[in-house]
Amino acid sequence: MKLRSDLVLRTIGSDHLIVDPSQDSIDLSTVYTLNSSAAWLWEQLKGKEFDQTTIVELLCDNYEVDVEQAQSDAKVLLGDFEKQGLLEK
Amino acid sequence: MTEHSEDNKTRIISNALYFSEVQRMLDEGKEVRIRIKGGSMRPFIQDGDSILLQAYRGGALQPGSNLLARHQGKYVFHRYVGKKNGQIVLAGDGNLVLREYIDPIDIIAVALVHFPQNSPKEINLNHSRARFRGLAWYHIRLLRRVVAKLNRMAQP
Repeated sequence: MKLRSDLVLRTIGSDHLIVDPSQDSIDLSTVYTLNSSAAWLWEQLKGKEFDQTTIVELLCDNYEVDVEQAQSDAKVLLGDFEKQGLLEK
Repeated sequence: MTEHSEDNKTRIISNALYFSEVQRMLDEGKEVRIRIKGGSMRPFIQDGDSILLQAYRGGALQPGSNLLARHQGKYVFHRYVGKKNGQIVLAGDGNLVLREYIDPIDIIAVALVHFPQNSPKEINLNHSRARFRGLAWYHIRLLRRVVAKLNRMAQP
């Protein structure tokens, strides 16, 4: 799977927003916010083909989490990405 | 990890930061859709409705148009109701007394379209009908104050 390439991650203060800038207009009435680790993951995954294992590896390599925790976090994150339509179809 | 503002999990982002982002995008020449918070534009625009904004780059303003502007360090989205001593006078449709006096330089954007929250309708805010209806509502403020007072008195 892949993240939608038309979406842009913006950091405003301490908040990370995913905005959907279509050609001439930007919808800021419905924005997705990510916490800092999800935003970091977004940057790592951008433009790449990935799956749940990729996320688990990234989490384990960069955060002090055990594999089980990383797997459950990755599953929740992917579920959210999918539900919010942030993945390419 | 993700949150969605339509998910009953609305996150509050500081207004100043949010609007600096809105302004940045407007400056890039984009039209920006934002959600309205609060009831100061009732009965025409409700809390939760959204509007499409276009940057204001000077030039003539249409009386009755809806403007996003800076006022005393805050952001207001109110109706342009007139001019006084070279200043622009704004008023919230839902307000009975309050007016804001701003300089033209404080105008950030003009609203183009209103999207009511629970309807597929799109209302052209710059159509003469929408503007005149808003202005008429402003000009009967005195009457609305009387009605509001009577309503308060009628309540037990």
